[in-house]
Amino acid sequence: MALLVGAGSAGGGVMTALTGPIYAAPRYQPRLADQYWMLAHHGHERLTPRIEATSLAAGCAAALLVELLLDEAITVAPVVRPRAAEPAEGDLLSAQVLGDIQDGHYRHQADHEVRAWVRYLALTAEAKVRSRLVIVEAITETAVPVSRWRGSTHTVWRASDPGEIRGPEEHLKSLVTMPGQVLSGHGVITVPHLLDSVALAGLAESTGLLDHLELGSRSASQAAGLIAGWRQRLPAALRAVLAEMAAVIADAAITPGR
Amino acid sequence: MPPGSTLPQALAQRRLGAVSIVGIVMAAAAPLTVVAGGAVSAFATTGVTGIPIGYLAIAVILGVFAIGYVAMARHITNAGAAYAYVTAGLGRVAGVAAAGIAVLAYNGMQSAFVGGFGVAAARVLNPVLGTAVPWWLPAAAAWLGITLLTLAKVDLSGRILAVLLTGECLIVVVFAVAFFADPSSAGITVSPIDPTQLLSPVGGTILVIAFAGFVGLEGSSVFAEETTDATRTVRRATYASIIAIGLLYFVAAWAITVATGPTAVVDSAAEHGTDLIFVLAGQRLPGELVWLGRVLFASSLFAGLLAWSNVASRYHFALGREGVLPRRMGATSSRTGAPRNGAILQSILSGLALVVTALTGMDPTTHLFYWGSATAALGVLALLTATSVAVAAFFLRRGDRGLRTVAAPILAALALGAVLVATVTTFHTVLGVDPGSVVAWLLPSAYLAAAVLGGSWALVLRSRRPHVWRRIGKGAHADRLAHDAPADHSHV
Repeated sequence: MALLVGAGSAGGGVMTALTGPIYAAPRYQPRLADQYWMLAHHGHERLTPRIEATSLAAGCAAALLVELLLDEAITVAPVVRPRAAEPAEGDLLSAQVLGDIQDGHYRHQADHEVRAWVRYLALTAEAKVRSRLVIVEAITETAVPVSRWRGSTHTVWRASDPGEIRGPEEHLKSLVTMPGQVLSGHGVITVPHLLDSVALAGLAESTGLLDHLELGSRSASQAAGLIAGWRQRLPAALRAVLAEMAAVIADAAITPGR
Repeated sequence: MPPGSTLPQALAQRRLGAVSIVGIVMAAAAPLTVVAGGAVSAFATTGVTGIPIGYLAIAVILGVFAIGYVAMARHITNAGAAYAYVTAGLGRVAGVAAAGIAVLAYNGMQSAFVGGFGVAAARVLNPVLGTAVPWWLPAAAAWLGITLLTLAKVDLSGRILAVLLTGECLIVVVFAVAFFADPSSAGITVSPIDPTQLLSPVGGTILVIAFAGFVGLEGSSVFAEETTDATRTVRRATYASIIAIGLLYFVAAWAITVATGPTAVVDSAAEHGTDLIFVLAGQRLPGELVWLGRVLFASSLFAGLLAWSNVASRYHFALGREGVLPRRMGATSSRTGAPRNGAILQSILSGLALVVTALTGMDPTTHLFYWGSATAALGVLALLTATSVAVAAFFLRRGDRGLRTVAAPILAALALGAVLVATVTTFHTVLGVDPGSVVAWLLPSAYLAAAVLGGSWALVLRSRRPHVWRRIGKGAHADRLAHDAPADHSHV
């Protein structure tokens, strides 16, 4: 599911609704998990997460599953299954995730529920999505000294173009402030780029990101209300992934530390 | 990348095992707190010497209870545990009524521990600082510390918990051995463990006080979803906890009566309060060991505080997630992932109890710690009685009439129900007040009120918010139901 790229911001919300999110001529087309990762991080000298690690990981994991759903590569009801045995086209990460699902289904006859996949993918999703962004040079990876006195280094990530990193936040802001005709209507959403946008909004809402974003004239709770309504218009499979992701986060909240 | 069948293995590495669950359950039970605090306070307040046999009797009853409880564990995955069982077995109205009882009981236990910790910590600090530390000062510090730790989602790590628990249990064993090795002039008597006391008018008192030591045990099934094998792990953890806790309390409480003499234990407990066990140990063991015991007593209470804080927060969170409590209760902190509002609510409630006790000049040991924990135990007793009935009803509706699934829960329900009735009718003895005292009926009545309120609220939800009504007791599945829209025709 590639995003349509447009130049400039002429036409405001209607243009956005019809043609998809408008970035300032990005060098690549960020997938859903990429957009979520960018949304979940901020900073100038170094990108730091806006939310705690479990929610971030679950969000990235769910985004990867939604990417495959929108690519029509998998189904998720009642369990996650591949639609075909052919490998995924496009980026390596999607291919890797799909390969796992295909392996389980065809080789081991072992299918698992969405929640199990979210939990499993969450173990490594954040790092892998970050790596994908490094590969496409959306972010850079740099080793910096821990301190002047200690000789060790740690890795920091920086945006190659701060405008690109803020792109998803700007897009979400325009979505909630000027939802446009289609999102203001009723009925199931079927427009592909809107599915992507609403999925991103749903991920942001369920992982607690809204409180940390600049949403223009909308407060976080107002935006959450809008997004909750849009979620109800998503196809059942997408709703299921978002709901199971929320459940994983909620379960983690009450699990004792080890 | 490993094949799909590795998925369960990868997730299993992060699951809880039986040992971890036993540790969590016993931390909430706080063995040294029960022995040094609960049992001694009971001797002093009730004037009853048969507390030791009560622990053994309750262990047996709970062993029977656990048979059906564990059998149902694999059908219930809900952090609200007992209330989810009642919902599944007896319906949503009964379930929300049970939730009301649970919220009151677990917050009450949390408040009780705040008072107990304040007194214990003051006793440790007094000789160190050379001044009389008011109990409310360390209590307030602990309350604040626990609030911050809970909001930061900091649990005592498994290793720290293991060290503290091991130390607690070892100290209890060392003290008990010393008491048996050097008894009072009366020698090693068996009157405190005479089972006929259970059939006397004070039987209910003995049993509910003993039951208070096991509160937290029902939490083992809360973690069913976090285990590799819900049924087997929960079964092992539950039975291991019952055996360990039961034996430890029985032997230790008996040892206290041996050290003082059965005719003097009540007066000694009244004189020394929760310091009794350390006074007795000081007459037999090196001072350093006794001081270590006092430190472990305070740490036991602190660990218990953290455990109960998490239990109460988790209950609020589970109910909020389903919509029974305001949805805000089901919110997590985006910074820490903690059940934020659930934690704040339990903190407010225990803080209120602390302030009221301090301002009114009530005795924190008797009125906050002992009354609080005894009353909380009464609530959990009612909860488990209802749970036993629910377990039997659940399996009967499925056509299952097995020994484990129906006979054992019915037997447990009868036994727990008998204890419950005996306790309520003699609650004045439990509290150590006159039969006509207001608190003797006011405190148990609070649970009746909570149950009626909960049940009424369920009826309101059924008529006004059917989408919430459908989610009651669903726990892990409630989130899915919350986001289900009417049928659509999308191809995705």
